[in-house]
Amino acid sequence: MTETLLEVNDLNVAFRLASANLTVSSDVSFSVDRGKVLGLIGESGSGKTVTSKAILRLLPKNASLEANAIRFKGRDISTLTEAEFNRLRGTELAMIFQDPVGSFNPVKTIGWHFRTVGKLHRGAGAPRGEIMKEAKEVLAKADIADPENALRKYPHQMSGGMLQRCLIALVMFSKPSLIVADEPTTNLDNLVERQILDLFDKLRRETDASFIFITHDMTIAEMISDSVIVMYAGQIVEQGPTEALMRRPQHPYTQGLVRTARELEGEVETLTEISGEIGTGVHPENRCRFAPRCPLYETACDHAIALRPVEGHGLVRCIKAGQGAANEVTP
Amino acid sequence: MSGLLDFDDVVVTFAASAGMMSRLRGRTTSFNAVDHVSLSVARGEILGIVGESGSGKTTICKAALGLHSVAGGAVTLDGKPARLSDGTLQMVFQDPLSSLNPRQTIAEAIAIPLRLHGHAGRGNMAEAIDALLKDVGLGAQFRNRFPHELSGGQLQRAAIARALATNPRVLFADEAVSKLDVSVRAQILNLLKRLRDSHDLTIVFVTHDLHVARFLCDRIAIMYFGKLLEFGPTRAVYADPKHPYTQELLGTLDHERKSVASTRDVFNPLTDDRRACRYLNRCPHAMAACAERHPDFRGTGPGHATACYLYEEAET
Amino acid sequence: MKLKHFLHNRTALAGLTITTLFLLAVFFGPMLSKWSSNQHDFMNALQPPSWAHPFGTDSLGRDVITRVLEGARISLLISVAGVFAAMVFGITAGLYSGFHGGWMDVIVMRVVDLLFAFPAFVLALFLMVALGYGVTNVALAIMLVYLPIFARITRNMTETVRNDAYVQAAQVMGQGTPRILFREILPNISAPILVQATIAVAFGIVIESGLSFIGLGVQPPTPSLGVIMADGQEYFRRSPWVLTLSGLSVTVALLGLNLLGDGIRDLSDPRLKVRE
Repeated sequence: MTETLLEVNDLNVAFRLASANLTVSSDVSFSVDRGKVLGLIGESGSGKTVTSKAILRLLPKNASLEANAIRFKGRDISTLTEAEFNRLRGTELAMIFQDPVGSFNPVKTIGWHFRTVGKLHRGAGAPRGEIMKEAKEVLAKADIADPENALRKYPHQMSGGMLQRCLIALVMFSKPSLIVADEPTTNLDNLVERQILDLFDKLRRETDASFIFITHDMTIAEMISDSVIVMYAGQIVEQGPTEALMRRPQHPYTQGLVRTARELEGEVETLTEISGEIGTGVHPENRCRFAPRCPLYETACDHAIALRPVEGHGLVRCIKAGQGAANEVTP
Repeated sequence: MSGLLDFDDVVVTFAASAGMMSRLRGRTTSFNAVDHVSLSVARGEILGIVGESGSGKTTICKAALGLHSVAGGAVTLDGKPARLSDGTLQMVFQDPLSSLNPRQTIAEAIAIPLRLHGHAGRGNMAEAIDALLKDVGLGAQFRNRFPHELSGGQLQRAAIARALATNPRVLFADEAVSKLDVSVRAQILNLLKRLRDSHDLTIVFVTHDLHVARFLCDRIAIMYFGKLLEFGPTRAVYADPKHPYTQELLGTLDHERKSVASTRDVFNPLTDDRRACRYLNRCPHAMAACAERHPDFRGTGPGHATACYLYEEAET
Repeated sequence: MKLKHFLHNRTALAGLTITTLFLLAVFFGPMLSKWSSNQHDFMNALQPPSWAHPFGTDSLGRDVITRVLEGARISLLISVAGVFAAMVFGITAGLYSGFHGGWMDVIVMRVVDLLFAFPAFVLALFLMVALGYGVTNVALAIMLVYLPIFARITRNMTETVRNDAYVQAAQVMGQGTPRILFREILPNISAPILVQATIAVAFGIVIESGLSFIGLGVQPPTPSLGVIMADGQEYFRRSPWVLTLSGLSVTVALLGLNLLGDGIRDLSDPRLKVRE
């Protein structure tokens, strides 16, 4: 029985700069079901981080956010006041950042962080013993070998991997319904990265929390997510169930990414290149933003392209989508 | 051992910052970031040095380039010590933006090494620069641009062009594609392969990305906390990794296989026994011999060797 | 820093304007005046401001405004000379020190610390006593006061950029150390040094004025702001315009230069650097 936990409709995010307004994310609509993981894939300039921060209202002051609706558990949270939203954030909605070091107060112990969060969410009178007991439980669930000891340590005394585990534990401690993880493994060494990914996998199976997992790595997204959104230059270019998207990507950009990932996993002499690079500066409104790099470009692409449903796949922003064998990428 | 570039029992020492009190108490304050590593790079090959953070993979390259002083052993090119003034060794860095002087145009950045090594003079400077730009796939319009005006891939190409300006024999690439967008990585990787052929280059590619290493490198060397643990032809090592660490590392590529959340810590350079095998703490096959002395290399196939007591010492 | 940005920043613009006007006044003013700064006119001593003498005359009948402008120029030149020398030696010491670290760094920085230990004016005074009075020695004193500051700023900045990839790339390329220091590193750390230079020139004027005021610097009849102020101070009750005007010109110089320095510092704020 899938229940829609989060529904975002027509989200647009822009920054007010000295010279002009810069739109960094436009027309973003998606939903996340309870207990599911949505992979959000994009490179620099895609708008992936901005979109997720927008949902959690973590954007800087000069950002403007417009949306038709952002519904969480059925309620439109885009119209909540700051105070009301603050009650949601940290308890129901949580975020895990790329660099765990920045998420901890360097002069306080891990235990202090748990106590602070515990008191915040359960009231100042909550019994300390209970908080600490639960903290140890959640740390153990996050595969920390000696939770008692970990609580006494300071952030700088821990390795990157351990600290990321503590952060995940701290986030899970509040039992949020939706967790946004922004490239949580990018800075970690190979072995640790794998362990953290396995931890995420375990959490998704054992709790019914939903995740939005932001990454630039196709392989990770494939491993961990149920459905995927691919963003490019501030727009969603393809979205749909993971398996279908990875097996037969419809948008040329997605195809390029998947192809590169597959080629690197296999054995080839030369990699297929996606030509060019994302431009810096304002993106054109009235044409496909991927056009300068697209091998399938034609003049018909020079107008605003909408997302259309493609049978068996999801939504794709390309006029060529759903047109047959050209889109097959061997797994 | 006589490749083009030889690392002969190289040792690089780092001082760990420790207060006077711990020094008085006899705690070790220095450790070997590169610990007696011998490796030979053949002419024209692309050698991958793979490892995680703290492995010493970047340090050993910087030692070859003279950016770190070598405390023991030697790095030689064609049997002789390489000098930076020769331009024979060059490097491409991880972050292309910070590897270019923000106040110099691309043309200036390339002109400096050209002029310094006498490869171009006032008369033919412009042509020389354009030729290098063309080699890396940049058009002439990039000559007068500043680094902050270029995108990541363009910057890395410019950095490669600058490195090629000294006509190097060996090019070190330190995580040269890690900071680039995924969609751009293929371009740079293909470029490096092409340049190896067109410019008669030998490339030493340092990375922690196992897929990239497999695509690009002919041979691969695995480092762990300063020690070389295994080396061999890429295909052989990936197909049949011998050292338990290599097995664990390559195991991360297999999505079906679950990781072993080891509760034991990795090697601590300041406190753990340096004579023992580096991987002792985490190795599932640890034996008594491993705690006494770090194993020597033993051959396990053509050109493939590993430092592990699990394998028989052959008379190579 | 782009010129366009510079002109938009109000602080920098104000600073630049004031400083430019000041410079124009002190370099061209005396030439345009019909009086010479040493022209005595005892009959008209201590006259209040009039059409002939916009700021009156001093105790020897000399035209105040001409004298002040020329004095300001001399004070400025002495300060600039001292600061320039401080920059040459201080920046060089700082660059080498920050780049090589080790013993050189330790020794240079201890010398710098030693110089810092003395308040600026005390150090300057000590030097004048040791070396004797005169214009060159004042400049030397100013140099000694500011050398440690430039050395320290440069050394700290050099340490920060020393491990940046472009510096390492320059080393790998085979560039010699002096080239790396002056052509690669220095241009990239110049902003705080320039800011410091404007402040140093401003306060160099103050030091010079102070020393000349007590008779250890420029000797009368050569005007310098300090000399004029010493004069004006004696007759302040009767004719305050001498002291006022000379004091005012010090203020204007300081203001202009400080604003200019502030402006340069604002503009080199890395947060303003937008990637196009």
